[in-house]
Amino acid sequence: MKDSFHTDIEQRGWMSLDNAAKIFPPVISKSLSSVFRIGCELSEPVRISSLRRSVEETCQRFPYYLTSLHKGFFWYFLEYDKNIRPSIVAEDKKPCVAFPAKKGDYPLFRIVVLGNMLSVEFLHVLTDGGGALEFFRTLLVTYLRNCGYNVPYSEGIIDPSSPIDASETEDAYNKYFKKDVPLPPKLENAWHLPFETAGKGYLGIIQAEISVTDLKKISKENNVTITEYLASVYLFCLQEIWNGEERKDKQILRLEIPVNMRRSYTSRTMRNFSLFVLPELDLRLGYFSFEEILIHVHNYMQIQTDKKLLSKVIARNVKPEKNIFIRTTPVFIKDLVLSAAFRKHGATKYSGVLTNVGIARMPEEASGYIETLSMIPPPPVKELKVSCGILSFNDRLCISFANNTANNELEKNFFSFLTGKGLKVRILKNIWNEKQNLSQLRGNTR
Amino acid sequence: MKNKICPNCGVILDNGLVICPLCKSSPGKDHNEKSEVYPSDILKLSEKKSRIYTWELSAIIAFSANLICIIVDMVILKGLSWSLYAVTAITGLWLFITSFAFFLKRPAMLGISLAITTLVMLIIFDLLSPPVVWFFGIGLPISLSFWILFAIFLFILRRIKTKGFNVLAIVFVELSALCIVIDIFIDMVLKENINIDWSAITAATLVPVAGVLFFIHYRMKRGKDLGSFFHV
Repeated sequence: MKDSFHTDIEQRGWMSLDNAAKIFPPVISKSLSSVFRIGCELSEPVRISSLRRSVEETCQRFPYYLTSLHKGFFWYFLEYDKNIRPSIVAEDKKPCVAFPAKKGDYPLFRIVVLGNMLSVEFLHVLTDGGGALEFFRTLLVTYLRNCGYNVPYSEGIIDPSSPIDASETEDAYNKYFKKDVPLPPKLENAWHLPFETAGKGYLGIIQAEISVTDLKKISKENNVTITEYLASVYLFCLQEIWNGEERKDKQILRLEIPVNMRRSYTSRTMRNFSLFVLPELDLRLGYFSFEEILIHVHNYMQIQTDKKLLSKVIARNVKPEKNIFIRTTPVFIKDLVLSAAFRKHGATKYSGVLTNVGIARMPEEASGYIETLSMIPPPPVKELKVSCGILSFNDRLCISFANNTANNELEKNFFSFLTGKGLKVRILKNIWNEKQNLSQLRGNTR
Repeated sequence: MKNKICPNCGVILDNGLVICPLCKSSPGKDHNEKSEVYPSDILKLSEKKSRIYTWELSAIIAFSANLICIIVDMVILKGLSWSLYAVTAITGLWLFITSFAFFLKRPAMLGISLAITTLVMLIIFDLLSPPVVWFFGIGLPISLSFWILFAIFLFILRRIKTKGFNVLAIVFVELSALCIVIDIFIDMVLKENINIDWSAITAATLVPVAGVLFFIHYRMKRGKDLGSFFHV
């Protein structure tokens, strides 16, 4: 039978990394995995045979994820293998464990299962939260259908039998790059949390749930969006910790908030297509009340998500890869330069990360089978210490903090602030901390 | 009098302006009708057109260079001597460019025209310093062998599904064959007995490398595209 190809990668057998993905291969390591997770808690334990069948069916519809990372002479690239499948594994001691991506021939996403919990973990090289959520929604509905439940592929969920659009593999950064656009101004370095990292490989997770209705109400009262409200709380909590510090060497608090560019630009890409908005507080101007922070964040978000300003950021990111000298530099030199640059500048410009993937719309028929949906951001870099991921489903907004220190002051302040505003915060059971503690205990007794 | 609106740019044209200063189109005319070449059109010139322009430019340059060589030769040496070699080389180069300009998408025709040009150039070079000694003994067989091997290479290239390290391996094998051919014909003309020596060493070096490349391609890379490894 003759092969029918829907996408460029199926035909060519490989594709180059998109602009956002290019930074990851030189810097990924065991401690900096660049892996994020989208997961859910089901109303009943996962049925593995149904899951296997669902993974197979879903993978057929997303062939561009059936790739492995390889090192070329000038750039890394993704090699397509129609037979490669994500591993279905049991929950580890911590989420977002690194992939052996650079060893070649390994899939760059995996399915993680524990009891009622079903998750998918993606290496950022492959896609961002937007692409991963699309995959996960299809997987989830396919799984429920394979379990015998009558759940339709509605709410924009991709039906595995639907035709694949070639534009799903486009490098949207390059598509929307304009070479004559000026670059954005350089930013001052930002302050970082002063906590000490807890040791190599440690990652503490704290997850909590808040009612979307309540959060929407309080955000509306303050004329801001939910993301703006939570970002303001984050910055306010950072300011509180900064105030308590004796050594205040840097006075800029800046938050990195990824923005799904598919909303601003017309693109159906399932690869990376997000940029960052960077609201900040310049503490040299004095103390900011929460109300002032709300105004600052709201205005920053409004202006920085303007399409024209976003095009400047695209220009800054894409321009270097168009340079013929950079393009023709062998990959091992690029590796050295990029990893050194990342070590020096990686997280110097921002104090924290807050990723709101948005609302995971699921068919009403699926609601009875799904308890919660959550997003766990990639483990933060050493300087950053904490990162935050948000995902909403029905009336539940799940906030996940990933922390590589033993200090939970930020999370504590964050949730206390919200409860202080009258919001009900439900802290979710932490399976990983129990496992890590158990493992540490075992290690100590040896 | 009512102002006109440019059908292309949508700008309002002041009274008295017959042609839009931006796109040079006339509001009175059908805006689909193009009477002039705009800068944007020049940028969008088809590949074929730009190849023809390059060819025309190369013809002017080649003609000028030939003329300069002939005039300089006639003025200084009062006759045609070295300029004949220069004119042959320049004209040969221009014929190469001509072949690429017109037969780029027809590899068979391109190969034949390049081969004929090479042979004609070589025979002219030999004729310029009579008697004709090396063309039929060395020039003709070596260049014919080269073009035959090149044709075989193109044939194989079309037949193989995945072009990776196997292409490099074929090049190495063909280079080895060409070296042996060169060695044989040079020996036939200069030594009158065939003794394959240096070409055997070259082949002994290149063929194992080709073997390694075939192994990498068909076993380790399982027939993967070389473009992925070397993409810029």
